[in-house]
Amino acid sequence: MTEMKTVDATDFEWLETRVSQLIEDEGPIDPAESLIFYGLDSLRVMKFAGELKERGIIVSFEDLAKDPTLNAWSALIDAKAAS
Amino acid sequence: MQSAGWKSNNDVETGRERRAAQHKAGRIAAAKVGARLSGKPCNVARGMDGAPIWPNGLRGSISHCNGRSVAIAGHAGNWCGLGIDIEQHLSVEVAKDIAPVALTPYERAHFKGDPLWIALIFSAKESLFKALSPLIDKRFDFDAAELCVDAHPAPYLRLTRDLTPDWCAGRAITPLLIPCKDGVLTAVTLPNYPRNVAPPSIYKSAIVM
Repeated sequence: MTEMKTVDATDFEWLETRVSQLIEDEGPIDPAESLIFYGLDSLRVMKFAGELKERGIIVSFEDLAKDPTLNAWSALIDAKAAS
Repeated sequence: MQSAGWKSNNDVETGRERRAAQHKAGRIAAAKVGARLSGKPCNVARGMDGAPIWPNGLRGSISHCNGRSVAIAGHAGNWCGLGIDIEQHLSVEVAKDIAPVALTPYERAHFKGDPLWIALIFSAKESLFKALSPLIDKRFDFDAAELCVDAHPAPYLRLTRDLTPDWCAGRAITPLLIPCKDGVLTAVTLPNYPRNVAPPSIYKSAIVM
């Protein structure tokens, strides 16, 4: 039950919505484009890493910062949620 | 070494417009500081990772926050790494959100939830990354260093792990930490002279905001 909740709470749609809120931009986001170009900065990456940690998904700042795209973050979260 | 600041137009709406305006302001600040050092027009390009590409003979870094941009640069012969960072003041909530990832257990125990210290630590580690990562050609995370306040005359960043044989666990780097009205400014300056040798007086630096 707990595992289902975690997966449900961090699917791609959730990620896209949460990132849109983080970068304060409601326009479409190209999932392969660097989020840096959408206004993402390091403090927002850090806030997001902290939020994921609260949800039981342990990713480091560097995990997120080295490839800041929706696709890469989705794969990272899936991998961590499955492990 | 020189630094310069630039304020961008805040009249932009979306995140990408804001970022583009900040980047433009950052390039202007970098061009100003580069021109001051070299005495001729300076164009600072942008790499694939967003990091500035300085003309030959210069090193430096750029930071943006809330419509403000700052740049620091120096001659490569004098400095092997220069990093600068500005951040807005953190609310208690945001400080609490980022502390579990940005701070080491030692830092969390020592600085508790103090938003000013958490902003200074976050920013100082950003500055360290900008100064040191290009030098050692290696990325590292926020737990690779921690801010220590002990018998030293000033707070310093202590490496918690071996990054390279030269940059090993325990090595201390003293950052510049400046709390300001609108936020914090930090810088890490890595001189290009052997350790344990006093820098010559020509390495005097200046900061212009």
